[in-house]
Amino acid sequence: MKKLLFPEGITRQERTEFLNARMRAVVPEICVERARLVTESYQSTEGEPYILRRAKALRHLLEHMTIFIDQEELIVGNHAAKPRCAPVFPEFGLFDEKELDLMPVRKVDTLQISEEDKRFLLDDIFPYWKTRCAGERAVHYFSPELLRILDSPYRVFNPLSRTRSGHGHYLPNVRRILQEGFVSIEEKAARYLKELDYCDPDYAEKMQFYQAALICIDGVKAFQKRYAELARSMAADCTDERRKKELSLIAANCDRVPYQPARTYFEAVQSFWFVILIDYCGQNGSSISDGRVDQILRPYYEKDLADGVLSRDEAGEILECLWVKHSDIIKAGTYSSVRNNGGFSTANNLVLGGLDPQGNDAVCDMTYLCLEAEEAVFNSEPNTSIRLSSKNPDAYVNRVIQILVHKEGGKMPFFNDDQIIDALMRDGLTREEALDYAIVGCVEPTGYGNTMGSTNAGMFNLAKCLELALFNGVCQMSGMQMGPKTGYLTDFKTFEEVQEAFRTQVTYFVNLMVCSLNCTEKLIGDYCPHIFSSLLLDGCLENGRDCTRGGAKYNHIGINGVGTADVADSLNVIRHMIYETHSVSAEEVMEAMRTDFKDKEILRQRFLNQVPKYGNDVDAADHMAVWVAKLYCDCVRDKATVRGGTFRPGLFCLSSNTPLGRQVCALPSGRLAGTPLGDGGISPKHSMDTHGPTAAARSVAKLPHTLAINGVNFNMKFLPSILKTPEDQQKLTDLIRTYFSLGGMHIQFNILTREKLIAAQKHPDKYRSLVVRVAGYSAFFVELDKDIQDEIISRTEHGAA
Amino acid sequence: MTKGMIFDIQRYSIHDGPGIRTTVFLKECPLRCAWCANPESWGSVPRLFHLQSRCIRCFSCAAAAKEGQVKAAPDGPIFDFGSCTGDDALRLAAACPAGALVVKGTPMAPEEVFRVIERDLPFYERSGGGVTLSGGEPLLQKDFAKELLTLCKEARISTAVETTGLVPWETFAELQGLVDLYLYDIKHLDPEVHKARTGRSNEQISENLKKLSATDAHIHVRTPVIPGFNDTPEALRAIADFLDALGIRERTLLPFHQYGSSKFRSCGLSYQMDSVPQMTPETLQHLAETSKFYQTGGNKS
Repeated sequence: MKKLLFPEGITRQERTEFLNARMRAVVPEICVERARLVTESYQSTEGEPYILRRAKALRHLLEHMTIFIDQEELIVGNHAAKPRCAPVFPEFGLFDEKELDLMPVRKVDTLQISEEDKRFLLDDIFPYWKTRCAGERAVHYFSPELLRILDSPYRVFNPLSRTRSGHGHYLPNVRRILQEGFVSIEEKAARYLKELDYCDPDYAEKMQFYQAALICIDGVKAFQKRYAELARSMAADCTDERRKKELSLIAANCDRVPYQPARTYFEAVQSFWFVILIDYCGQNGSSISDGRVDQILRPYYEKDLADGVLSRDEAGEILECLWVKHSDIIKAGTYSSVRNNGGFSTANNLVLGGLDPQGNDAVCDMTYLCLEAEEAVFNSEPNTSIRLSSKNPDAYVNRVIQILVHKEGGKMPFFNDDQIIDALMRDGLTREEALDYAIVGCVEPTGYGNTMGSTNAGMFNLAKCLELALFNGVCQMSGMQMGPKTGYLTDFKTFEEVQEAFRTQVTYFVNLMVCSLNCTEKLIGDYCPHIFSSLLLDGCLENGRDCTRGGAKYNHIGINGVGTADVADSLNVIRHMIYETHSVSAEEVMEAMRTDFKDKEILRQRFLNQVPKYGNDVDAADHMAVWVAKLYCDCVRDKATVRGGTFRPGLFCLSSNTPLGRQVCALPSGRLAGTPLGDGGISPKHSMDTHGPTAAARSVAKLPHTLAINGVNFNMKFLPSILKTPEDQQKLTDLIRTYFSLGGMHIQFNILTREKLIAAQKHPDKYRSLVVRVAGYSAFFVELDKDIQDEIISRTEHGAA
Repeated sequence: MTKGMIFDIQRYSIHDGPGIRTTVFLKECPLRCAWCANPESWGSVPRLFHLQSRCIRCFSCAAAAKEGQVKAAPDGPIFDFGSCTGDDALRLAAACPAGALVVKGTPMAPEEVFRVIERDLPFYERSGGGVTLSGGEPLLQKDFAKELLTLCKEARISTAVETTGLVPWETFAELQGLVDLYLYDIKHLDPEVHKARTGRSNEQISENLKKLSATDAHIHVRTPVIPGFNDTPEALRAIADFLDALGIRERTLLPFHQYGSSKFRSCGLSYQMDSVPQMTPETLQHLAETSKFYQTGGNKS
């Protein structure tokens, strides 16, 4: 393959394999450098407005953090002082000694930390933040009643993790930076500042915002300059002529981007990475998402190819460097948080395909180049997703399925483009904006570069609400009066009264959750403005307001209902056995729930097996799931957020179904106390969908997908044996497309063997490259907590031999 | 209206004809092959079927059983399957809370089956799929099959039939125009060997195939390759020659597998093939090559 941009001497495949192997071999550690630099800065800015202190802290970090360019890298920029290490964000949240002690030994997101660094954090850094960080300030923002309920480990929802992280969960408008550079943002901010109306009542806030914006851009300039200088000095010292030339090209890139617009494909990719990276350095939030990388890079790729300055293979080589870089960004979470997600899931979503701005098929050679990069690198990050319109060709879908089969690991969910575009337009986006949507995090359809969606602000435990609805609001795990007193199951004369009690509980807790999240977001707006992110969101500069305070054009808070299938199946059992056939008494059901079916295994089996469950295309059973989903969505939507805009309901759970399951007593569905809830938002409960994938797909398609516009997920697991031939794979393509024509919004496949997963549990060393998708996102299987692994294994296997 | 005796309906079948299909399994078979993958099809009466993995050993079945039908052993119930048929099978299955006891054989009206089939209409339309009747030998229930196939044709659902071929020729004649594709099993051409291993000679099977091939029926012949039975180049080449002579080009060798083994135990039958290894794709490939099974003689295309 002829090189046009780079000197000969190393192939695309050699470089990608080298970089990826090195990235995968890293043993992640805690990196304390960021904590030191940020604390230094804050200590020197006491008394200044918070927004300026925050901007200065970012600039200080970008001016002083360790930077490096590793062997064979073409795209540069590091998150911590070493590759794939987790920086500390003390301004958001702290770790106590126990938590730090646990990090190197915990089974999930294991992080090494030296005794010296631990002491440094505990003795020198955290004391300063004890009363100042957002997490610790949260107590001042919640009502006593809220704090009381949140204090229970069995609570219906938990809004506190967001106070430790910042928002993340949005799509920065990196395309604009590629096109115009930060120089245009800088000019705009300076001009707005200069032209600010003296009579504007918000003068102070706006002035400070623009000042902060300019400080951040100074930081960006310093950061890229440091890389340029480093590359130049490394080039000067380099004796290998090939690498010397590459380093000079890197230096030239860093001289220019992201401050100046990108002129070439290579500059565009470098600029892209710098912008995403700096955003992740500034805040502790996850799911800051790439968006439509194939469409964003397409013009640069096509131009360079036409100009004869870049070969297709070199474009792939550069792209694969970017792909590997995504694994550099990991965050340190508390155990209670990481066990819910696990596998160092940053959930940077990168989406391909779909429609172009004219509404035509957008799949192009750049799309296929991205799929090649995905196949070659295949790590959990980026979280690559597939926009699929009826106008996209089958060849594109088949290529994705081919990769999934080849890799035997679930990634790359499909999103129903035509339906989502319509739904987003109904949700307020213009047609142009809707066509340009991308996915945030795991499954959340969001406007590109214009929406602060806070799409995963919280998981809402619907199954817990059912428990409370059947027991007069009393938690059966603790005995605590948690919800309103809506009566006991034995009090309800009709099934409608059961439903009414459930509705009351859901409404009560949704309202509490809305309150707590508005309080949380107020706190973040007060103490942790996201100035850099605001530079990348339409509206913030024009409004002179930070995105954490509603500066962006569109604002939402997304909260996601978990346990739809468990609740629907339980209500089906209650209706059928208590109110229709009178074959079981309400006392018996309550007793079974209270005692976790002690000495009642026969009853449990009857619940499991003698009442039709959601997921088998049985309308009566499925309509219960529709009722639950709609009830939740109606409760959530249209409630106002502190930033403006509305709350948006979603029905997905990532892997929170496991920890949320620990909070819920035994259910009439036959589920035992403390065991995981159903995985994957609107998927049928595992092992309960026994009529095959078309029946499951039809059941799921009955739900109101577009009402849950914050995102849904439907997971389907296949053994590779049923996808052996191209004909079999075409049938899966047909299954996906038919599911979408029936109204499905998202579908995700896990194609792997049960034996493989069990073997991976026992021999993690042999399976490090096995990436699995855990309910809407993907992670290295061996990095997950064991009970999450078990849960994956127990999911229904369609087509099991 | 003729009720059919159905023992399973499987949606998203992808190896029983083109596209995504729903396969309807009909009871009873004229053959008794030791390698059968669906032994629960044997016999025309509903049959009790015990899924060991679901059994919780609660012995609710024993309480519901007649004298001698269920014995409570420490490892779980032991059934006298021969006496647990028909209504007795239904009663025992109803008594099982765990779904471990099911009845293989449910009388269903053609409309009832059709309502299940038509649910996947959009999947058939997208993929070029449809319905496949299988078994057992589905054509043993020809009146039911005819009614069901007619309903499908009226709804423009493509139809396929998997057959042993061992039914009177009149059945094929009667279904003319209702079956878009025959998936026709040819196992062996030697009548003696065929009789010894399947219980019946193959003369009628071969004869029906000859006649069918003379009509405009679309035929795809499938040959299960069974070790010790027909896994020789000679046996397979003989089949290929026969098909060549009839002008049937569509043909597939299916490798022997053990997926039926647990089903034998589940319905109280003894399984004779435990010691026979599953056929690897390599072995099958080798046999196909040495027998030149897929080469249509003198009639290259």
